[in-house]
Amino acid sequence: MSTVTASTSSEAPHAAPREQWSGQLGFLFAAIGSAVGLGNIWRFPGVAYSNGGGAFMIPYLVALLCAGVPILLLDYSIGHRFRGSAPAALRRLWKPAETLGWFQVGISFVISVYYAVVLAWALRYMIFSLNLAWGDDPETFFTSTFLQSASGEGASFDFVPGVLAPLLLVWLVSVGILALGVQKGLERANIVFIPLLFAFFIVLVVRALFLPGAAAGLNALFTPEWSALGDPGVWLAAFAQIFFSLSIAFGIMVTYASYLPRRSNLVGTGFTAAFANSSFELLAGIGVFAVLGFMTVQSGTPIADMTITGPGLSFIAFPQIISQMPGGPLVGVLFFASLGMAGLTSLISILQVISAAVQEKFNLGPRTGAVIVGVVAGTISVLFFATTTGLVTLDTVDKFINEIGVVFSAIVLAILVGHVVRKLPMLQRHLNAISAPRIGGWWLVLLKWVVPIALIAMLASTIVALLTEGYEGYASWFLGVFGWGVLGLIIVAAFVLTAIPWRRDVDAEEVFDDDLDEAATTGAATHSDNSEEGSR
Amino acid sequence: MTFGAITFMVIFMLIVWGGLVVSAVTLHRNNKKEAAAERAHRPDSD
Repeated sequence: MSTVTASTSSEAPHAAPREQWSGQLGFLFAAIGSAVGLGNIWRFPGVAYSNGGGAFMIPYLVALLCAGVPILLLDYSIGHRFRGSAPAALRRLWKPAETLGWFQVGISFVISVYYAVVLAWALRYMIFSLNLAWGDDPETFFTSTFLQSASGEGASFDFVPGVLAPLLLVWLVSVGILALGVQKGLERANIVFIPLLFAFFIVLVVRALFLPGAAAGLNALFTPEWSALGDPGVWLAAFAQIFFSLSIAFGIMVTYASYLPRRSNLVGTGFTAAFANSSFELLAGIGVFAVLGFMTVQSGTPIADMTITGPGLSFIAFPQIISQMPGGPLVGVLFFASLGMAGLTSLISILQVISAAVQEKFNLGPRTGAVIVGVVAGTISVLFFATTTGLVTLDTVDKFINEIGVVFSAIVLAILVGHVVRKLPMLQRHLNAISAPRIGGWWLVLLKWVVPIALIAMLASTIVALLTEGYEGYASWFLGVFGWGVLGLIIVAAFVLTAIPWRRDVDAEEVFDDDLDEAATTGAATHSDNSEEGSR
Repeated sequence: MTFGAITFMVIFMLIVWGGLVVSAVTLHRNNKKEAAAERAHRPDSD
């Protein structure tokens, strides 16, 4: 029985055999590594605390099961069924959808250039922890001494050597991992770093729970505030948290799933990866608030008055706490190493989206693709974020890319697949043919209606807030250039890249065809050698 | 800690960490079944 389909009409060169994960465990670790990132550590605890505390778990779990898992499975099914990077897979789904694929690649590109900088900060802070270099005033140390931040907005090209050196190291390591390929690079890195990250973080949380005041911190995080459930903003915050945390709808999971062998349990892996991500978030929430409780006892500052999210939490509040903690230097090293590992496993997944798309479009090998992407993204990263204005630029680009770009991409994807090309039933059959447990009609309903409605509400509220209130008091021209301008540039680039011809016959390459679907409906088992089928 | 906070923390932990354990165990069992079925269907299997 034929299990892969390919037409052979073009004279364009054909591709080399597609790389694959060594097995499902490799893919699972990579998927968890991608999902568990900086947002789990510095976003979830603060969002939960500000949105109803214990009561936040209700909208959070609803969002996880009604939006997070369905979009994750949609990404998996598209990547696995059509076996390509985001532009190639979406083109095979529906030719004009290639532009959406390039839009997702553009988002990944922009995220990668600023994400790498945070890893560079974490690397430096790991070393600073050894002698508590930030002294008595971590805020001044972070903004003035370390980042040498210029006042106000603007793009300066005054480089900060303290950021530049570790940033170059981050890019070298990331490109090195990518160049080694899917199995030897991405898979091995995740299999080493993910267990290490969980182990480090468990040690940190256990240490935090024995600090004086830890119970007060946990009280603040988990005490339910029921009135919050009546606030639509809290529900939107829950959907946003799940959405940003799972690394969905910007090509990562499409790309990763495309390297899976033919028979792969996508649904089971999706649920495991989603729960692993939430488990880590919960662990991070307990650790962070136990530590903030300790800080309250030490300084008398209420948690409500502290910086509880973003870089401020990791690079200002935590150093302050580490200085007062018995065994502080060791805790600091563990904390910043965890931050670095969580960030690195996410960064390489983001870079793989770009590298895979470039490799396929221009018919390049993994090494060449990785080097080209690394040089271009690394150069932009250094030019804009290793400078004295890097912090403000990063904050602005991050806000617009995540809260508008990624959400917009997910809305278009859900509407496209659910209402325009109507391929959801086909993708459902594909998932069910190879997965256990099977997914039912709920998946279709959620993706066709619940996901687009929730995400459109989220996007509309963000855009209205940005247009009426601005962001962080930054100048309009600055938001226009580094916010709206960057988004506009990605859209233009997506159309330009779509117009460039493929250097190989992308439409003739193998996909996992409907035989799988027939196998599901007839109950006939299809058993074949995965590695041969997948790479033929 | 207050009773409300402890209750919510425990429920949240049970759902999320329990969900992870159940989904991971189910995935492992299904993969074993699949591997066994694949071996049984190979003509040159032992």
